[in-house]
Parts: sequence; structure tokens; C-alpha cells
Amino acid sequence: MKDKEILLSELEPFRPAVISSINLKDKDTLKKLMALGVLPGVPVKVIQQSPSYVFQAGNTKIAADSKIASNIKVVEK
Amino acid sequence: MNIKKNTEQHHNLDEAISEIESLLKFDYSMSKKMIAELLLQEDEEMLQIVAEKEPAYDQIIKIIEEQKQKFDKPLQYILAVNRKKKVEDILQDVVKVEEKSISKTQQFLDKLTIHPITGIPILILVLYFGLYKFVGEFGAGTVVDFIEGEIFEAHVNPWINNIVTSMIPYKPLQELIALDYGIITLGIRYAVAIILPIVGAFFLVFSIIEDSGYLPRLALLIDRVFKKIGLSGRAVIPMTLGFGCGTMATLVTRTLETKRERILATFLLALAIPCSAQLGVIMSLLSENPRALFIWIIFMIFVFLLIGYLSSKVIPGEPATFFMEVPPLRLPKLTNVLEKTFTRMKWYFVEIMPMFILASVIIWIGRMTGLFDFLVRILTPVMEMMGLPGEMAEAFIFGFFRRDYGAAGLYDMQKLGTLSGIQLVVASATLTLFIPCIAQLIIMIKERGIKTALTIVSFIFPFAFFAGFVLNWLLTTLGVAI
Repeated sequence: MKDKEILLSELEPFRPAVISSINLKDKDTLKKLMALGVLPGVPVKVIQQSPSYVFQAGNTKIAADSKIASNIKVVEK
Repeated sequence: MNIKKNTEQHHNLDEAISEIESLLKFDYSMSKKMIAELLLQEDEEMLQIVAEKEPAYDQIIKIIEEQKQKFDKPLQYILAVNRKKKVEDILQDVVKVEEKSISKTQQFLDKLTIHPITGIPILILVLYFGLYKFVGEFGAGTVVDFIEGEIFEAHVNPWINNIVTSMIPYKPLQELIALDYGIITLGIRYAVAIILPIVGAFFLVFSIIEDSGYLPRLALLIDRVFKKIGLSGRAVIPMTLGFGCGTMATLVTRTLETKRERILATFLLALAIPCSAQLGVIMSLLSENPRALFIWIIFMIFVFLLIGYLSSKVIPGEPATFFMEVPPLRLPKLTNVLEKTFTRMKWYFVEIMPMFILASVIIWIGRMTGLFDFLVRILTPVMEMMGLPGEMAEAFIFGFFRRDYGAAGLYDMQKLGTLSGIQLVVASATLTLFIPCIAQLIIMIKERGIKTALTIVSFIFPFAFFAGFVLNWLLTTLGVAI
């Protein structure tokens, strides 16, 4: 089950993964997230899940709510 | 899966780009490939230019639509993925990445500030030392006492009053410049002696917090609470700034993502967030009475959350989403902090001085024509309904011209020692809720439009008095001893 896609919100903290796709409907948010370097192929690691999600995508640390975290799909490394 | 599918169709996308390139006839100052890519990403500005300049516009749009149909994701996304792949291919052979180690202390602090269990006590410490101790006690206490008492009341005012009364024989003109409500003795005194030290202290603290990278951490801690009132964690920046200057904060609501959030933030700033000038004065009013201060804080938080929650139910639109880059914590650079503080103080001073002078003049006109007395008379029974002395109406009328001005008027009354504990709390709460200062109102109209601004104002006016009435009734009925 190595290649199974899961949601970023389901990824266990500190487990290395790679972003596989982003499914946000809102184009503006998508654009801004991409500008922060949240893109398929980027290594990702969840640092904290509450009160907000905090994850490291590439070299950027990002805080996001569950709506965003559950629209990013990742594959565990 | 998506990645594979995209690369299969990559060829087509490249073809589409070159096709659009060949259709572009106008001479742009950048490469046509770039323009083709921008068009495929539906860049609005570029689409508009092309619509005006290109005869083959319809054909270009057709190609874009065709490509859009082929993907289940926005083209923007597809292009960004392709771009990233290319960048990686180039970098692969020429760049070696070394893991940079971050110092242990920094990592530790980093964790502490974003973890809910440690983050919230840290937030309270920041607020206590930054706002209460430094802005409240030092700025609004020590510095104000010195400038107000030692400089103005001991030297400037008697000196000005002396000159004016001996040089100008005409009493109304004397009152315009000096005496109780004059431009110099009231307007400039308030601006320089009371407001400036408080605002200056706040801006200094805010610049330090801003430059340390702490604000996004605060935003992520508070996001869930803010979602309940229709805002996202991002709104913590204008909201915090509102504790400094509501006018500046209203301007900063621009940085929020949706129109709905901007309206809600503007509204809550006008209603429930006391600016530093008010905060300073209110804190010095209530600091000798910790219970009164505590009740005021609880009441303001309650109103903020309740009204925020209710209005987020009423104002239509999508709920806010939240994401933000979290920069590493840095030690702020002194020169940057000082420069920011200075620039903000300058902005504030340039903006505030004319308002204070204007307010002095309006109060003077109001007093001369009897209009002021008339308004005070109307408001007097309202004050009494809230259990406040009728004379307080004057402070509220002042408050219309500047919210902080009203608070400062209250401060004068408290020094006379005529107010009871309950009266202090009710007056402070009502004044905090009451209409924002005239400058903030102008910015509200400019930023949100006259209709929204007036709707907000026509809610706040009666609500402030109603809340004061309820609070007074509650405290009296429950027999709370303050």
C-alpha cells in the first residue's frame, strides 16, 4: 500500500510524504497556495494538527485550516 | 495518477501554447510564449488586453477552452506542475542541497509558540507585558502623566491662558484658542499629551511583534475561534492593529480574502475593539479597580464573540478559509522597528492633529450656537437610563468626533472622583462600543462604501446604549460590588 493517496489531514505528524494533488475548487486560494510552493511532487510533513494544521511543504512552513488540509492529497514516502 | 495523465497531454498543451503564440500579432513588451501561458492561466489583466488588441481573440479563446476541457484541474495548476518539473530537471544536475541546521533554541521556541498548550499562555504573556504593562502602564501612565501634568498643566496651559486672556479682549475667541475647550489647551493637549504617547508605545510593541514573525503563529492559534465569528485567523492582524488604531486597522482589512470577511472585520473593529487611546484611558480609569477592569474585559469579549457570531449568521457568503505562511522566528532588528514605529507615529500624527483641531473647533461652534447643549440635553436622559451621571453626555458627544477624545473626557471626570465602580464599568463599555472616531468613519465609508458604513453605524448607535443599559441593569440587580 505504498502508493496509496491519503489526505494531508489524515497524514500522521512527522511522517514524510509527497504531495500528489490539490483539489481546491476556489481558484484564488489554489493560486496563492501554489505561489507558496504547495505543488504536486513537493515533499511534505505535518508538524501539528490542532488548533490549525501546520505543515512543512518543501522549504516553506504553512498553517492552514482543515478545509485546505483535506483538499490536499499526499502519498507517503 | 494525475501526474501521469498530465504528462501524457503535455504535448498538446505545448502545441496549444505555440498555436496561441502564432496568433498573437500585437507587439507586447514581453515574450509571446509568456503571454500565451498567462492566457492559458486565465490571467484577467492579460485577457483584457488581448481582447482589445488581437483580431484573432475568439480563436485564442477557443484554444484555451479546448485545453480546459482536457483537464480535470485548472490550467493554472497543470502549468505550474509542468513548470516545477522543468525547474527540477534543470536543478538536478547543478544544485546540491545541504540540510541547514537550525539552532536548538529557535526550534524549541518555534514549537512552543504554535502548540496550543504553550502557545496560549505565551499569547497571554505577550498581551500582558506588551499591551498592559508597556502600553497601558508605561505609555498611558508614566509618559502621559509626565507630558500632561509636568508640561501641559504646569506650564503650557497657564502660559497660553495668560497670554490669550490678556491679549484678546473677546471672550468667545479666547475660548476658541484656550481655556477649557480651546484648540491648544484641549485639542493639542489631548493629541500630544494623551494620545501620542499611548499610540507611540503601541506601535513600538506592534512593530516588535510583527518583525519577530509572531503574528502568523497567533493567527493559527486563534483561527478556530475566529471561524465561529465568520473570520479566519488572518484577521488577527487587523484586529490586533485595531488595539492600536482602528482607523489604520480598517484600512488593513484589505488584506482579508473575501468581501464578507472584510465587512465583518470592519464592523467588529468599529464596535468592540478599543483603540490604544481608548484602551490607555480606560485602563487608567479602571486600573485602581481590578474588578471593574475584569468585568469590562469579560463584557467586551462577550459582546465581540456574540455579535460576531450573530452577524456571521446574517451576512451572506462562503465561510472563510485560512492558510498562511509561517516564517521562522527572528530577533527583530532595532533600526527596522524604530523606523516602522516612527513612520506609523508620523502617519498617525499627521492624520490626528487636524482632527483634534477640527474637533475643538466643532465643539466651540457647537457651544457657541447652543447645538452642543441641545445634543447634550437629548443624551442626558439616555445617560441616566444607563445609571450614569447626566454630565457624561458631554464625553459621548466628544466621542463622536474622536472616540479617544471621549475617553479622555471621561478621564477628566474620573479625576474629580465623581464616578462609582459600576458607573465606570458601564461608561467604559458603552464608550468602547460607541461610534468610532470620525477618522475611522471616513475610512469605513471609503473602504466599504457608504451603504455598508451607514448600516454599521446605525446598528452601533442604539446598540452601544442598549448594551450599557443591560450591563448597568445586570450589575445593579445582581448587586455586584465594584
